[in-house]
Amino acid sequence: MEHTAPLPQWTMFAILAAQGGFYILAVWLIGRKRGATADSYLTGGRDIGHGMINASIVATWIWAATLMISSWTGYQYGYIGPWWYAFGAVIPLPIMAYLGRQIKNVMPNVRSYPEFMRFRLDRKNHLLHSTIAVIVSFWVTLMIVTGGAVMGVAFTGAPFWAIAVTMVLIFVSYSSIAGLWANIFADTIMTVIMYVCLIIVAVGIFVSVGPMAMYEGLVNVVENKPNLQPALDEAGRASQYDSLNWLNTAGLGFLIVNVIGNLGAVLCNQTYWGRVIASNNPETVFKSFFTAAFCWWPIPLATATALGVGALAMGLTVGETYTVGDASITFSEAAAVGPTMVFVTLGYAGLACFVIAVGGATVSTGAGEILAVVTVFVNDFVKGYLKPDATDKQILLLSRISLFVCAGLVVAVVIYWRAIGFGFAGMYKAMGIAFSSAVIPLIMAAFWRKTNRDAVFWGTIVGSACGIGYWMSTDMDLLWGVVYSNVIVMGVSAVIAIPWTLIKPQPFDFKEMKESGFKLDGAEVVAVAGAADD
Amino acid sequence: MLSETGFIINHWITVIWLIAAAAYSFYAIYKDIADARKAKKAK
Repeated sequence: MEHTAPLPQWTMFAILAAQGGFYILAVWLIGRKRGATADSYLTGGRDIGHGMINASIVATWIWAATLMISSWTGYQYGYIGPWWYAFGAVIPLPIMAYLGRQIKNVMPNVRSYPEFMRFRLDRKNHLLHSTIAVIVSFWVTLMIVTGGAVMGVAFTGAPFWAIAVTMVLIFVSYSSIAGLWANIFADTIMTVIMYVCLIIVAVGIFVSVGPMAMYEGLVNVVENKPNLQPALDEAGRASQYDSLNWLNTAGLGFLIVNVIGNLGAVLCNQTYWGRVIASNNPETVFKSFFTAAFCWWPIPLATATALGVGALAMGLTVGETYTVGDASITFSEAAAVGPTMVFVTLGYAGLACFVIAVGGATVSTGAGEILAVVTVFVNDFVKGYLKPDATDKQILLLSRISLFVCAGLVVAVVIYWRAIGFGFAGMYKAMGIAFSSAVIPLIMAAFWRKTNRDAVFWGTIVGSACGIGYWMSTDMDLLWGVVYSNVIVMGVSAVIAIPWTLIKPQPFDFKEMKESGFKLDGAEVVAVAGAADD
Repeated sequence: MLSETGFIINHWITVIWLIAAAAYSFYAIYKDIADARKAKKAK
């Protein structure tokens, strides 16, 4: 199939470079002192207020999936798809409000959530959660870069690998200057820009296409069942023909995967813990995560309704090429319905807004996720075990070096997965199987003073093993196989951890954690009273 | 099956909510900047 794209290749790099250049300059001028010490670099200074934290949470949770997959859910499941997508994705934020406030209250010196697990539970839980945190953030970075590059290919035809490399280079560049503060600062600017761009898209399609025309289009799809995705079999297309039904069963399956997968993606993700840690006080944490839920929800909802449901209503067909004026775009895959629809309806203006929004979302979230990988690596693995007597300067230098090493790994894996055809939608669905077994143990450790350390450890491992084992037995089925695997993951971890704790409680006094934490003054790590060694 | 009126209301909700969310976020950022300036002047 010949690929046509509406923009020349250089425009992709120009947009990314302009955004990246702006962030690098702004961070250098305003915040470079924030990168002067390792603690400030990794924690953002612990003095950031509600406005920036709220904006940062919103920007961090908007990524390529928000705009690309949410649009796909509208195209695949009809009007209810965006609601299920947004609802499933927003649930973790209010939970994080309680969790974040609690941990910031009991352990004010914390730098990462695995560090909390170290001093609350024991070494084995610390190692387990450090590993999970690294995998979560690394995995999400892969998805972000892949999604952003898919968009770039759809719009410009630029090589996938070149877009991936450019994106990754940009988001490690300003992060290397001032660490977490740089992330949050850039997120704040990005939130403003994204809202403006997405309001233009949502209102533009509301005015140019309109809800009445969209409704007529959906009725046509329901009644006449056009073949809009020739590569899919009838079962795969069936949900499109149920697009005005809120009880769309395939959509409900997606909701379950979305809820469970997103719990792990937020609660076990050091990126969001970074926003907790950088906040100026526990009440800012609590307020910001709640308001971020309100502010984030309509972003995928409005965008996916306009783009995904709109594309379904207009009968856009995968594989077709659409011409607007003297430019064309090929609707290469269902995951690219967002950029295709925006170009077909709003032309270059809509295209520019969407590219800026997705590019910015990719850069801001990617920066946060890669820094999260580095934070857990240096704070928990290096300071915790490999070099406990590492000084502040050494940790700071290692953080910067690790950023670039991690960036190289991300690019290598992204290109490999693209080469073997592991799809973006598949990555998203499989996410919950990999690490949502850690959610209930984390909540137990934070709130239940009687939590049994072995119970949460084995609950996490066995839950994950059962889910992955079941999924492999379905030949890694990406429909109901993923749904059942996700349910098994969380269910098994709860069934092990909760009864075991009830039978053998291990009381703990949270007051012991007030001074806990790995020290960055060159002193060797000594377990603070209250942390059991094993 | 969702009615036409229901679909139109749904679409309006998505757009108005997005605008409201943007307005709140911009206000919260502005307040942060204003508070930081006050704190700097007080020093």
